Amino acid sequence: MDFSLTQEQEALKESVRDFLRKESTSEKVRVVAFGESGFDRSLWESAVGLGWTSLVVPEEFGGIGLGWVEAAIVAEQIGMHLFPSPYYSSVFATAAILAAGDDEQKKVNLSRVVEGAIATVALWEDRSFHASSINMKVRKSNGGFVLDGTKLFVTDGEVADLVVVAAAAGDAVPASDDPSGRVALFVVESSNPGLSVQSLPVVDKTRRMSVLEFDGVEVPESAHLNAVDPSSLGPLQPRPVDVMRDRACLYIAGEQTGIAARCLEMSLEYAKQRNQFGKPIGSYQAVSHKLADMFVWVEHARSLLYHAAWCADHDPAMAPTAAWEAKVIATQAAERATADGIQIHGGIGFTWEHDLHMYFKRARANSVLVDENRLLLDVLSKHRHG
Amino acid sequence: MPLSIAVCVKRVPDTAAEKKLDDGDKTLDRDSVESILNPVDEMAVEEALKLKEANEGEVTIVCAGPEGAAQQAIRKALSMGADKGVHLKDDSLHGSDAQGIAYALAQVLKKGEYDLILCGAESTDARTNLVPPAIAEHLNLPNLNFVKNVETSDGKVTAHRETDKGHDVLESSTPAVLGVVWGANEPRYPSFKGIMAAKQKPLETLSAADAEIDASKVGLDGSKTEVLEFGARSTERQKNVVDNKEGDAHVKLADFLQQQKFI
Repeated sequence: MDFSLTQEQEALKESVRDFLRKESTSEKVRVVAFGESGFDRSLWESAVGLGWTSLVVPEEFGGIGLGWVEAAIVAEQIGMHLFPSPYYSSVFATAAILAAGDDEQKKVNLSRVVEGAIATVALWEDRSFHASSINMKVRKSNGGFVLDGTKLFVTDGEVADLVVVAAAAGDAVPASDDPSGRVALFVVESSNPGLSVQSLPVVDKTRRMSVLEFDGVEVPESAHLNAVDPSSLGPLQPRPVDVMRDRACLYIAGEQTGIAARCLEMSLEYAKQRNQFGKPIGSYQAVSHKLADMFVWVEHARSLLYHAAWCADHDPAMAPTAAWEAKVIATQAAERATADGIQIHGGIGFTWEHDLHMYFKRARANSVLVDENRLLLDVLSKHRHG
Repeated sequence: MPLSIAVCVKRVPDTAAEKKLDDGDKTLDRDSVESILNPVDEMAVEEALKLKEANEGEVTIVCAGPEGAAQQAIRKALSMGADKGVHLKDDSLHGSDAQGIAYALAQVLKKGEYDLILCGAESTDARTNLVPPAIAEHLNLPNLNFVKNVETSDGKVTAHRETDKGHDVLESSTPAVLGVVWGANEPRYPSFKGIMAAKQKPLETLSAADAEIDASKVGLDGSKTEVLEFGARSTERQKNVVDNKEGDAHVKLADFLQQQKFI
């Protein structure tokens, strides 16, 4: 079996890499990340113009119709260059709309995402995602719905134009997650008068988070993403909320792999040029073994990443566990590589001026996005062993 | 008037990467390092695309080299917006120097009818600056080298060249060969749509025989230059330690800086 990237995938990787090398330099990342909004619209518009937001959107909804392998390529490069943008949020929301929306909802919402509207997902209300932890209330009113509740850890909430929000379905609407009915998804305009946004202090300044308050937010009936009737799904078929979460896991695995790979590159380069006792530090086992370990982690993470991406495109039954595995291992790789990278760099690795601390923080912030490793390992264990 | 433009491109090792030479035939070891489209050629492609947008017409990409690398270079240019590609692929070309490659490219270019032939003025690996003027010589065409801001009107081409002494405006009849200088423009990034569209664009492959190339003028044996030996550049630096035994270090340091014309 040929596991190499196709010529087009290689070209796509090169295009993304070239763009990020020039537009997501350390200096530019710092200006955006430590600026007030954490967002650079012209940078975002450039990425949109190159087709980044249309990547996984099918052609009939205005996209290019490529797959999750291509999305993983982009995610890996974004991790390598710490691109400060709402791209993760946009991919997550795209996955949600693709999984839960009907054709008209996909057409209306995804064509806006393709053109550059920023979309995000408001899911969490406490530290972990579980259908039972969604308590946002939804009730019917005037031919539409009214949403009330608070969402935490919404990435890029302050700059989003569209928010996909998960609410506890109750009797008001059919749910998207399980036949007994729990979670329903809605698309809400961020300009809705009942919606307020408050920024959260974050460790990783390259990706901002907010609290979203929904206070009597009125939405039309068409805002309810209800293409899939969960009661029609078999017990093993994934629910739309699971599919979107798995895709987000996959994307984060891509970023984590890129972070680990970039730390390996930087550490290797430094270990070759930094001399101690008359020799490059890379010639000493204490350093070279760390570098060899980093290489193994990167390869492990990358293999699982592209396996998961391939499954998302071709093997829906394997896709969930493959995505969880990829996120667990890539997160371990990124956390270890950033920590060891700092050790290999010695004193300079601890400084503000060096970029390693930004990679370190992004790796840790990513580790709790979507689901923490601890929870993913729990579900993996249950899935594998019952 | 619609223009027919050819752009000659080359795949080179990634500018940021450490390059290696093959110990055997002393040519560049292209497998040891990630390669990219020569950045100066990218600027030539961008200049051609701007001319096409201003005048209409067609941009053809010409590249000589092994299958993978050359086709990647052509596909990248096609994904930026060029219309078709011509790939000169023949093992007999391996090891050709700048003169040999210029001759081979000129033979390919003779097969088409072009108003303008654009090249990057140099590649980032060899940096000889020889290929554009040598192609012009082989084709008996005027050569405008180290230029930017290329414009055409009424069968003439105008281009600008910055020199140490000022700014030259060059004009020539067409067809002509132009060497586009580093920094001529900001090449566009291929969009994802462009990358997918490039797959459908025509790419013709020619052998040395198809291009009527005289084998004695190309390859290692046909080259006019030969690499005799190579080695790593010395990294030792000259050290001047200014001592202060007599309390006059500041004077010595000032003298040194003055001698070096720093102050």
